[in-house]
Amino acid sequence: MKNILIVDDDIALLKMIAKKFETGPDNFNPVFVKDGVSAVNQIKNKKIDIVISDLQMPKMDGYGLLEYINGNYPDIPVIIITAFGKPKSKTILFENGASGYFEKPVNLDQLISEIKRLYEKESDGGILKSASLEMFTQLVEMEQKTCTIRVKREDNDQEGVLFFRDGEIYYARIGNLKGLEAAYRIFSWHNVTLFIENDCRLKKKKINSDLQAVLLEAMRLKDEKDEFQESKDSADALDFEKTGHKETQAEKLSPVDYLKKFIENNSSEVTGILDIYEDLTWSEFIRKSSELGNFLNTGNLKACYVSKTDSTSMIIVPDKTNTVLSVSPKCDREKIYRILMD
Amino acid sequence: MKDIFADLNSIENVHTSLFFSADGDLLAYEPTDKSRLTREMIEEYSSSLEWKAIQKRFKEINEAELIFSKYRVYMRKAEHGFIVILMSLMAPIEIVRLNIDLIMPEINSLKKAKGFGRFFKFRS
Repeated sequence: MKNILIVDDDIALLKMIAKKFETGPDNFNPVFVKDGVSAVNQIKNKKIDIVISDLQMPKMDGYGLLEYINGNYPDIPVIIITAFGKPKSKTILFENGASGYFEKPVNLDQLISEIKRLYEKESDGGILKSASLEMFTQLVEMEQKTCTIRVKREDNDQEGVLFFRDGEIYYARIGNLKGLEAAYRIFSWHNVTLFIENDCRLKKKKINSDLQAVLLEAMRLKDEKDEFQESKDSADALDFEKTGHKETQAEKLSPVDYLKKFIENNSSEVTGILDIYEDLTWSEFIRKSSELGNFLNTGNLKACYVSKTDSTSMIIVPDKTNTVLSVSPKCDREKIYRILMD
Repeated sequence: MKDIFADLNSIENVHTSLFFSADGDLLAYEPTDKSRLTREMIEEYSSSLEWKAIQKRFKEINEAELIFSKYRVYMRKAEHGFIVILMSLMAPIEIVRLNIDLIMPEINSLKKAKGFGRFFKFRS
């Protein structure tokens, strides 16, 4: 299911689009917001595949939103719709990374066709199942290709994106994790499917390393992680022999670190986690929830699950920075709670 | 109230079902045998809360589940207030959620001033 974020303060148009999606293609899920700031929040909290945005809106206009998306989420195509179309603004928008342009009144059939075209464009260079990412990206480098590679793990729902221009790695992203750190993470994945788009909307290089350096560092980090896992296993076994119970190194980690490591190491067991990030805006909610726990004598607050009106869902882990796990509806929350309870 | 919450309270490990108005009045209180909370305790606690802030936060939330080390609390927004269910960690949350889905139209059809009195028999 592809999430289409539609940003417009024109309620009548939103209603028309909603109706069109109800009767139209069933693999697209429209999400509606009325201004650019709400759109940014959506993009941060939910996996958005395509954005359709008006130009003139309160808080943040279409130009600002386009600039933000191209700077931070350049794999997300943006279609601009406007009631004040001018040839010059159309040119500027395309120069600034817009993928489509419509003038109001919008022909909804054409809009749907454009969404489908952009969706198909994501794999116009082919799809490689169970591919070796290292090998493929080295080919991209050798042949100096320009492309966007969407990397999907086969053992869970995680997806990352790599950006290449003339064979050079420009940028990487997994949810809100960006740049080198995201690249290292993506290159440590096994069993991946690659969706290759023969285009890269990003014009400016944001990773100041060449591919070989990134690959080497990713391998080193992966080895380090494997070594840590091995030593942890040995320590666990030793602890078990000494004490007769399993007081492990992992148990001494914070719940969040433990959860992150657990997810990395057991990706086949925990599915449906779309993103992990910190969000201090939940501090007041967490504080009030803890107070409620004190009053009810229910013990320490371990986690909060929140389902929002915009159909996003998340598990908030109360810690210094309030780590948020953005989750899909099929996520096994009970399993995550159990990990946190441990 | 029992007419509405009876099925919910009969679910294993559900302890207490509460319904607050949007501004914090305890409109429905139905404990099971396992509950240790009295109506007075809840009302006192409710009066200490900033309900305007809660209303504001719940504008963007449909439901929330708070997992504590000993219990869990489930909260659901209704048209005229909030349903709060206190339960053990082992409670079958999906069945609780389904039951609330079923009673939600009935709860939403009630209005604080007129309706609740007809349906809910508060414990004294």
